[in-house]
Amino acid sequence: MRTRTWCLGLLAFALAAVAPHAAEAATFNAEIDREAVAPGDPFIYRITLNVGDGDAENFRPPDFHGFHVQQAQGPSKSTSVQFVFGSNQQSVQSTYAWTYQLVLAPGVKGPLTIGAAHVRVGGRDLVTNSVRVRVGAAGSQSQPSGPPALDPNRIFQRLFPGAQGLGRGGDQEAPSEVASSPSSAFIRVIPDKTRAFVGEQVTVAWYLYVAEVPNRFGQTSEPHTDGFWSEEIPSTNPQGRLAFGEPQSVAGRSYNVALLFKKALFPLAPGRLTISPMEAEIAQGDFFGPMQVHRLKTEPLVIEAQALPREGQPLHFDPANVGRYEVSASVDRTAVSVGDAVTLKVVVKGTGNVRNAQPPALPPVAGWKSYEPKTDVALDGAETITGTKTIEWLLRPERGGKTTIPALVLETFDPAAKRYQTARSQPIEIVVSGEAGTNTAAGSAAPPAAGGGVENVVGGSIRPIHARGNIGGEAGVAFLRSAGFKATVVTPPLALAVLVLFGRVRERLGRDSHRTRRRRMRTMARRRLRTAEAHRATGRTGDFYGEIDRVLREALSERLGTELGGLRFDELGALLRARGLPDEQTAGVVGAIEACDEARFAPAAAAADPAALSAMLARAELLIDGIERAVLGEETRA
Amino acid sequence: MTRRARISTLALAALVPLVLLAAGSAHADRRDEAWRRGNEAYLHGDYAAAAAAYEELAHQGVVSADLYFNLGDAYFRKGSLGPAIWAFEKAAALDPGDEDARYNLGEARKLAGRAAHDRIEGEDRDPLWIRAVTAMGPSTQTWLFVTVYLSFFGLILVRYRARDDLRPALGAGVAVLGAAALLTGALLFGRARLERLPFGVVLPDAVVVKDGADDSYRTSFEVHAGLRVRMIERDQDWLRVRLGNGLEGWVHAAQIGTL
Repeated sequence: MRTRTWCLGLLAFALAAVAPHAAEAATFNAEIDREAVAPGDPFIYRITLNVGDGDAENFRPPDFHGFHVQQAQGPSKSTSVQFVFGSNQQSVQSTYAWTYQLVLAPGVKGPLTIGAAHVRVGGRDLVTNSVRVRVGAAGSQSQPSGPPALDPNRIFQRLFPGAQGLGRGGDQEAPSEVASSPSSAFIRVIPDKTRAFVGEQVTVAWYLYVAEVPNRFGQTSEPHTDGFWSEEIPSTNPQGRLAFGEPQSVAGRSYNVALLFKKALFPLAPGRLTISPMEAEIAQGDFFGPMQVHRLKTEPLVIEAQALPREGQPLHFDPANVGRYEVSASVDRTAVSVGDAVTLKVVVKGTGNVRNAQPPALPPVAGWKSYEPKTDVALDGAETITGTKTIEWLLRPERGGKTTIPALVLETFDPAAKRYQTARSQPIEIVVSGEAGTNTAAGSAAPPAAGGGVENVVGGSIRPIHARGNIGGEAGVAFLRSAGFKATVVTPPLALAVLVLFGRVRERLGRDSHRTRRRRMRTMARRRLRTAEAHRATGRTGDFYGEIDRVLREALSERLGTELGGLRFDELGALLRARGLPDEQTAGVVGAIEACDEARFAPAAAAADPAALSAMLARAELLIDGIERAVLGEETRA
Repeated sequence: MTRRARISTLALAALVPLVLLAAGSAHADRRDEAWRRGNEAYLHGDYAAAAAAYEELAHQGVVSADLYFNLGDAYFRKGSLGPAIWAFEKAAALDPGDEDARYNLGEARKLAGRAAHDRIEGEDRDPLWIRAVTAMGPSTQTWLFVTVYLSFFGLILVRYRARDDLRPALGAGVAVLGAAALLTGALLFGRARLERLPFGVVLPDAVVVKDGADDSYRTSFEVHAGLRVRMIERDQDWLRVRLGNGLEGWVHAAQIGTL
């Protein structure tokens, strides 16, 4: 529009610049498209101003007495360029033709004359010719059936603002007082059907019809669609601007047509539902005058909504589920631990009022807790509403075992087939591991969220949270960072070292060496001699000699490292001598053992004498001391 | 020491562990309460409250793959993709076998990539030792090492005490366990080394990287939410980070989540 205005401005400038010359060549004519018409039969009256240059002013329209002005249109402009070759020079002459057109309808019979129109161009008055119309007998269109007549003066004020001395300028954007001309611009509301079932889609389109493309279009009131669920069908207009298609002919007249918007309407209840009128304004303007604003208003549209048939209607059928749908269900995992959540996704896909469709209810599943579902709707953007409604339930098992989520059933009514149908999902089996109590519910006392489903703000599908009853924590990490770990690392090698050391010591201590044997012998001898002393003190002579005999033998056994039991006295003596015990000592030891043996088994009175006992005790001590100190041959080798 | 004094000492000795036990139990109860609060908030769609409860647990020093997984979910649903990626990375690092964490991490990265994708020219893979160290969770790594290590010393002890004819076979076992203990010990050592120069994740949607540790330095480049960086050096509130291709720069420390 701005381009058009700019071009007209340039033309005005060009006209004004060449005004003195152009006035001479200007012509101003009037014509009609036919000379004979019936009363009320419209015909076209056209005025054409040809002007080389110059400004047009002081226009005076002809007298339209006896005519109804039904429509006015213009100006339309044409330009012709002529090259003039003279003897010594050449020039270019441009001529501009402005044409205004009115549709007139005679009101009475008889010959009628449309008088001359006047205009002043470049200081010169121009006058059109008068035209004569013969209005014959009334035919089928004897009465004017078109729109109401317009005031010709006002028409010309709009078409030719200089008319009747009216000045230019003023409120350029002010709405015109001129009533809208429904025939030159109107809005048409077109439904694809006027009778539909409750919940069935009715597509309604609003089209703008204009004889001339307007500078501006603005909607002043929305059509109200009370009683309908309304879905806007996405516009194909580029960046919200009006897109005019191929011109269309309406009642013999060519119109530019643009789609304003389309809605998919779904009746919510049976009955006659009315779509209220839509109101709009269009503004048109040209070089000569202010912007003219036309108000447009549609007629109300009535849609008859039929109730859904009773026959075959399932019990508790939801009238929101009118359309053709299929339903599917899936889970993000089929094996889960007690306390962990599973996402059950139910997808309702099809054609109909998808956004309002009521998904199948999730029946209570024993041993499972379900949370408020999240709902997401995605429409395909087609004229017939299709899309998917996705409902995600978070389910959490509260005990182990195998569970089957039953098939989810969706009852629908197909308006095309006019019958009820059933869509169902496949049952889903889930295996839950673990036992109730190990991972108890995460606070099952919390109430469900109020209202409907919670829209997923981010979208995308992620695995749900791990809602175990207690937070375990990574014990390994805690242990790694604790002093216990360091102790665990340090303790085993230390313990092993200590153990080895202890063993070595113990082994060393346990070795049967000369010294240990001597120590052991000394300890044993001391104990036995104490026992013998006790026997002596109590007068147990037999026991006394037995103890002395035992202590001598054991002392020898310890020193020699061998058992001496069963050896005769001569054999014992030989062994002692062989091992390097001096003969004197050998004789003393063997003699003492013999004496003890005799006193034990053949006690004599002398042997029971306390002095003899004390002497034997002292002798034994000396002998043991000698045995202890003796250097024996085997030991020397060792 | 009088009898009364001895009884008092014994009573005190018995009381200390009881008090410690009770304190530990109360602490665990508080943790579980925060955990349940977070889960309930999440399940009812209050993702901000859920994230706050999980963060509270993380600040208490709770180290758990489940905790970071849930935290990632809460951030994801909130629309905070950088923190979500960080939390999922933590969960996957703590439990590399957690399929859920890896899946959600992929989804979060995909979504963040749609907003802004940092294409790192000439990015190298992590060195082999890092991949080896991070192939297993720290907890698993710890328990594996402890088990192998103690078994090694236990077998040494058994061999020490064993009959002579059994010693060669036990010696072979000791050698195998010794090698295993060395390997698992090396992995733990590697993890400790990795923690000294940890990885981090860019948290905000966009972060300008400066040439130095101050806002007045020239902006070197810009990185976006979810990008994994190596944290090289810290200077008060600033961190020197290195990208996968060796490019380095300084960012505000609060803009990087440590893994």
